[in-house]
Order: sequence, then C-alpha cells, then structure tokens
Amino acid sequence: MNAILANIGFWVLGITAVVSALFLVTRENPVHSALWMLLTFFCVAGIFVQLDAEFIAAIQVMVYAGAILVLYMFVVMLLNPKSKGFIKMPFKVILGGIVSFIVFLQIIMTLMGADIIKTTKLTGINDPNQLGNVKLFCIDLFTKYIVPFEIVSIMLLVAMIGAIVIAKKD
Amino acid sequence: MLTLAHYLVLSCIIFAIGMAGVLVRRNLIVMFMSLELMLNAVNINLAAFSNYLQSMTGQIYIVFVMAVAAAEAAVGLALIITMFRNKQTINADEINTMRG
Amino acid sequence: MIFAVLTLLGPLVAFLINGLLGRKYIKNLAPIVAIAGVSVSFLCALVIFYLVSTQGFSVDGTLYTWVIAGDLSVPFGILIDPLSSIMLIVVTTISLMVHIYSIGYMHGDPGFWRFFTYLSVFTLSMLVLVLGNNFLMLFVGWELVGLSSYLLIGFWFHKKSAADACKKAFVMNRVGDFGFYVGLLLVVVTFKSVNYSDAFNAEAIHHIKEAGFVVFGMKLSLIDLMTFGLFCGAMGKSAQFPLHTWLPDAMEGPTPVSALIHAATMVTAGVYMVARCNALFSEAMMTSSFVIFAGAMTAFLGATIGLTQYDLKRILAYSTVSQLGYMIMATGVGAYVAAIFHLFTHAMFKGLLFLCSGSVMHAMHDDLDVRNMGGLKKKMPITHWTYLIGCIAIAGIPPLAGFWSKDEILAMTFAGGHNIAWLVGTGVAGMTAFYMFRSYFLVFQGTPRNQYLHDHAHESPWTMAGQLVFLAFLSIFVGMIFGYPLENGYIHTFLGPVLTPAHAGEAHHMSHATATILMLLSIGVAAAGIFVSYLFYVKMYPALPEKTVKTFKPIHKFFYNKWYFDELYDFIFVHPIVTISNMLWRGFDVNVIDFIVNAFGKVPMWFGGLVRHVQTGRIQTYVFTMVIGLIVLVTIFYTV
Repeated sequence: MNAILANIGFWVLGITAVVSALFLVTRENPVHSALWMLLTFFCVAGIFVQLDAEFIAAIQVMVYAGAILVLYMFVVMLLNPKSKGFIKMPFKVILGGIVSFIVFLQIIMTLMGADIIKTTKLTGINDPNQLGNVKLFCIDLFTKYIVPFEIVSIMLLVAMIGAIVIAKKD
Repeated sequence: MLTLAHYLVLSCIIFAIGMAGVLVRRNLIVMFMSLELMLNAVNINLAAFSNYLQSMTGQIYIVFVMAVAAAEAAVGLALIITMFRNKQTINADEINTMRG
Repeated sequence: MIFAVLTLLGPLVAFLINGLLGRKYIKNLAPIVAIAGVSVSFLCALVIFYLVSTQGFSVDGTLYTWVIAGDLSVPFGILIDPLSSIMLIVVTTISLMVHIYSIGYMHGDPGFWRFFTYLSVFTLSMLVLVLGNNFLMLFVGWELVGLSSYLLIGFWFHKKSAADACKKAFVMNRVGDFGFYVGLLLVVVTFKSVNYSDAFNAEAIHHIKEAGFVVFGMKLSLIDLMTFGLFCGAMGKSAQFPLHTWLPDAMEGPTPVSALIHAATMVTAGVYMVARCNALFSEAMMTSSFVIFAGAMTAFLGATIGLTQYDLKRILAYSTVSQLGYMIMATGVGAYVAAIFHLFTHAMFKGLLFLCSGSVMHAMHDDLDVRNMGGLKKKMPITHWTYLIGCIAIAGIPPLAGFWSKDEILAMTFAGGHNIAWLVGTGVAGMTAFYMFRSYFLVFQGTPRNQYLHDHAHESPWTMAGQLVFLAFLSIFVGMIFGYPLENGYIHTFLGPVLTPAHAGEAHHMSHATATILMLLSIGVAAAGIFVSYLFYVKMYPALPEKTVKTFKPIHKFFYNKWYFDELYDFIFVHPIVTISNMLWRGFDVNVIDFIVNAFGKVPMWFGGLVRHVQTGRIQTYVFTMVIGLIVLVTIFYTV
C-alpha cells in the first residue's frame, strides 16, 4: 500500500517537475517563467520528502521558493525588461536544444552502465526512534562539517555585502 | 517499485532542460533561473545518493549547494541591475562589450 | 683591541653622521665631525704605536666571525703588530693633516659636507685594509679604497676630465684587482684559510714549496703564481708599470685628495700588501724578479716623464710614481723594512709637497703651469720654505727624511747583487733631484713670468699653512729618528721581527767602506741633480733649457707625452673595443637581438589577430563552447 502510494507520488511529482521546468524555459514572459519555477521547486521539495530528506525539503521551500524566487520576482518587476523569448538566432536555438539533448543522452548512457542502481530498492535512512532524521543530519553538520559550515556562512555574508555594494546607486 | 535509477533519470531530465534554457534564452534573468534549475537537479541527485548510501553527507552538501545558489543569485542579480542601469538592456545577445 | 676598534669607529661614525645628516643639518659643520673622527683614530694610533714600541704589544684577535662556509671561516679580525702600527701612524697623520687643510682649501665648495664624508670613508677603508688580520678584510679594504678614490677623484664630476679620470682610475684598478682576486683565491684554496697566521706559517709554506704547474714548458711554482696574482693587485693600486697611467690623471680630484692618495691611503696599499705577504713573496723567486723589474721600470718611467712636465701637480704625481717604483723595487730585493721606511718618509714629504702645491694653486687662481709662475718666494714665505724642505727631503740630501730611506733601498739593492736595478735607482735619484728642484726654481725663484697672477698671489690661511709647517717638521726629523744609523736604525729593530723573511739569514752584508762609498755616491748624484737644475732654471733660464729641448727634441717629446702610454692603451685596448662594440651594437644588436625581441612581440600579436574573433563577448557562445567541450570529454572517456 505504502509502496504504491510512493510510486504514484513519484510519478506525479516527477512529471509535474519536468513539465513545469519545460514551461520555465519556453515561456516568453519572465514573470511566467518565475511562476513555473515556483512550481518546479515545490515538486522537487516533494521528491526530497520521498527521499527521506524532510529537513532539506523544508529549507527548499523556505530558501528557494520563499527567498530566492522572491528575489527573482523583485528584479523582474523592478527592471521590467522588454527582452522576451529566445536569442535572435534560430539556428543557435535549435543547436542549443540538440546539444542539451546530447548531454542528456550521455548521462543516461552512463547510468545504463551501472546495473546496480536499477535493481536496488531504496530503503531510507530514517532513525527508527525519531520522527524524521533531522537529528542525524544536524549531528553530522555540526561535528564533521563544522568548518565548511562556517566558511559557507562567511561566504554568504560576503555575497550579501557584495550584492549591496554592486547594486547600490553610486 | 522505485529504484535509484528513477531519481537519477528525473534529475538528468531537469538538468538537460536547465542547460537548454541557459543556452537559448535571451533574458539574463531567465538564464539565471535555468541555472537554479540545474542546481536543483544536482540536489535531487545528491539526495537520492544520500538515501542510497545511508549517509547524511549528501544532504549536508545540498545545504551547501543551496547556500552557494543563494549567494550566486544575490550577486548575479545585483550585477544584472547594474548592467541594466548602464546599458538599458539585459539581453544576453546584446551585451558584448568584451568582444575581441 | 679596544684602541683598534676605536680607530675604526672614529671615521666610521663620522662618515655615518656626515653621510646621513650632512646635506640637511650639518652642512658647513661637517669638517668638525670628520676631524673629530680622524682625531680619535690618530690618538688611538699614537697609543697603539706607543704600546707596540715600548711593550711589544700585539693583537691577533677576532671581533666576530663574519662568514662561515663549509670549512672556511672568515673572521672579522684585527691584527696589530709593528707593521700595522706604523701604517696606522702614516694613514692617520696624513689623513688628519689633509682633513684640517681641506677646511681652508675646500671652503665655499657646494659639496663641502660630501667631501668630508668621502674623506672619512677613504680613511676608514685604508684603516680596514691595514688592521685586518686576514686576506678577505684586506680585500674589502682594498676595494673600499678603490671605491672611495673613485668618488674623490671624480668629486667635481661635472668636469668631464674629472669624470674620465675617476673612471680611468677605477678601470685600471679593476685590471689589477682581477689578478689580486686570482691570487686571493689561490691563497684560500692552498691554505684552506684566509687568515694571515695560517698563510704565513713557515711550515705551511714549506709544505707547498714544491707544488707547481708546467705551463708551456715553463715550470711555475704555486707560490710564484699566487704572489704574481697578488702583485698584479699591487701594480694597480700602487700605480706600477704598466698600470701606472691612472695616477697622474687622478690629479683631477681636489688637491688634498691627491695628497691623501699619493701619500697615505691609496698607493701605499700595494706596498703594504707586498710587505705584509713577505713570507710568500720571499719564497717566490720568479715573482721577485718581476717585482724588481716592475719597480725599477716604474721608477725610471716616472722620473723621465717628470723631467718634462709643466703642470706642477703632474710633476709631483710622476715623482710619486717614481718613488713607488723605489718601494716596490725594495720589496723585490727583499728589503721590506727599507720599503716600509721609504713609504713612511715618503708619506710625510709627499703629503707636504702636495699640500704646498695646493697652496700655490690657491694663490695662483688654479693655474698650475710652472711656466706662469716664478718669484713666489716673497709672496708666500711659508709655502716657499716648506716646499724647499720637501724638495730636499725627496732629493735625498741628508739629514732630511728622504735620504735615509732612499739610501737604504739603494744599498740593499746593491748588496743583493741587482746591479742594473741599482744603477737605474741611482740615476733616478739624480733625476728626482733635478726635476723637483726644477719645479722649485720655476715656482719660487727667479722673476715673475705672469705679472697679473703674481700680483694677486697671497699666502694661504693658517688652516692650510699650519699643516705645511707640521709636515715639514716631520720631513726633517723622522728620517733621522728612525733611520740613524744607516741600515741599523730604530726602524729595523722595530719592524725587523715582522718583516724579516725566513731566509733572511743569507742577506748580504757589505763592508763599511762600500756602504760609505754608496752613500756618498747617492748624495753626490742628488747634489749634481740640484746643481744642474740650478744651472738650467736659475742661471741660464730660459736659454739653456730651450737649447736642450731643441737638441733632444724626439726624446723630449717622447717623455713629455708620457712615453705614449695613453695612446698605446687607446690603440691596443680602447680603440678595438670601441670599434667592436660599435659593430656589435649596429650590426648584431640592432639586426639580430632587436629582431628576435620584436618577433617575440609580433608573433603572439599575429596569432592573437587570428583567434580574436573567437571572443564574441556573448555569454551564450561561451556556455555553448563549454558544453561542447563537456560532450567531447565524455565521448573521449567512453571511446578510449
């Protein structure tokens, strides 16, 4: 029963994510693109839940959908640019599509080479005594990865200051 | 039955779509959105392997990727604003000051 | 030890103060600082001399270890023995005199403080050279002396002749220094040490006595080679034939500097070095022969040129060349004591003569042509009398200083069986007397030949004249004090222990009668020289000199043009080098090197022009290229 539900969830979320990603890329209006991106992010958050990464799903919704997307929307609204659609060289548009497809094929080919991933059932990494695995996640983050974590925080600070300096009117 | 392959293929499709977006769109903002899409595809990949390998490292990497993405979006959009202020355009094919 | 360090510190501190603060803060007070520094050295030198002479005081110590390289360690060491103490006296006395004299002489010069700074360095470098207890410190002092003489000769560097002269001095010294360096390296390689005490060790020398090389069928011993290298350095510094040409040109510097160079600091370095290395030189038979030849040749050369010059300072310069020849000759025959003694007395009277010439120059408004002078006796009594004393001293009339030392050199040369050298030496003594008195008669006696200059002539101020009197006093008495009785004077007792080479036991001793005859002969020659000079330039001036010049025109011209040495060097060295350099410049440099360099610029530009179109400036093109690259990489990964 659970397995069937999971199956259905995956297919629904997956197909929605792919379709909305396609819409993101193809819509003329950047505002529409941003809205489709929102949908994609939600679907990806759902996929994370399926993969036992509830905490990641939560911050996906908060950071991506909540913060980054809003930032994009702000810029789009602020600039209200008239640039729409694809680059003005149809040949290159087709070429870009083809090249992306080739990359896609190559990755798939790589996957086909590894048989094990097709047969392995994902078991999940939930701690049986806990609801979800946030505790496990945090133990790792604040012990093994404490230095990278601090570095990333400094990087965010630098990025923030940089963004302010660059964007402010002089 | 869901296997690792399902997730990997899904991430692969989204990655390819994102790449196509970067390659064909004129609007710099939409190009950036496509970049975010590619990063998300990578995140799916990381989460799937984290589950598969029974390890939290993958999920921690997702957090780092998100932080980088946020920083990149902030700085990138700031740059776009400056550029728009100077050139009155954010069309990628019209910005070619660095042409040799 | 403390006195030795103080001796060095005096000029060093003066140099630092004047050099750092002179331009802005000290200015005209610079001589006070410099003289204070030299006075400290002078007093210390006196104390050291006193200690050495009365108590046999000696020091061979290390202040600190300067260089450690593998087995070789170079100490910053001090050596005080009779030789260095007497050199200290010479250097500091003359230096102090010159310093005080310069206050009057250089007064009003825009580079007043600079001059005193350089003088301090000059003194310091000579002191380092004299006080060092190893070859490397000798070398350091040696090069420092070269540098400071370069700075001082070219003191008026805006004058082209001065700039050329200082370059010439530097280059000539460099030629000699190359030999010196080779000799130095040989010493280091042979004795595995730079210390004098290791190199002059009788045992060590005995050990390498037989070592040698066969070059072109000629057997050269290691010591010969070593000492020859060192002597090359001495030839450069002490202006020996054939590297003597820089010294007369060094006249371009201010006169006090000439006095310092000629009397105390620069040219004596070579003689000092040879005397210091007497343990090595006395073992080197071939080098010794060469040293005698070079010395005698230089003495003769300097004297003959001195006969014909009209420039007062040039006459003195060539007399220095000639006297240096004597000293070198003396070292060649093994009479090291006599060489240093002559160095000592020569320093006094040559310093005196140069300072007198400066005084004359001052009075004559920088005109140095003796033909324009004459009759200055009344106008400049002090200068006149002191110059006369200097002339008698250099001519070798007893009991003045020059007689004692010069006679000893000649006697030792004769006793050593070097008859030709003795003959040349005696002849040169006569010539010296002749041309020195020639300059004296022309400048001070007779009638004024240039009335305007004569009317404006005046005696120099006491800052200058005082030094003349002091040095004249020394010129009269030092010879007697140190030299009496002949060949057995105090100087021998004093310097004997350090300057008597190992095999001096076989030194020839003459009978008393021979010695007396030689002495009378040299006095006679000197007196004859003075008499002929009197005849030429007082009695029958200007008829007789003109007639003589006419009769011996080619020889006169040859001497007057300094044996054409400058022209010869121009022809052999300078001209070909200039020609070749010009060819290389216009031919090789412009056409080949510049072409290659330009090509290095042009080729990348050309390629850049080809590929610049790849830079479209469009982001998408770049991304596209990146993705293509990714595909290619993955494809390669799968196919290979």
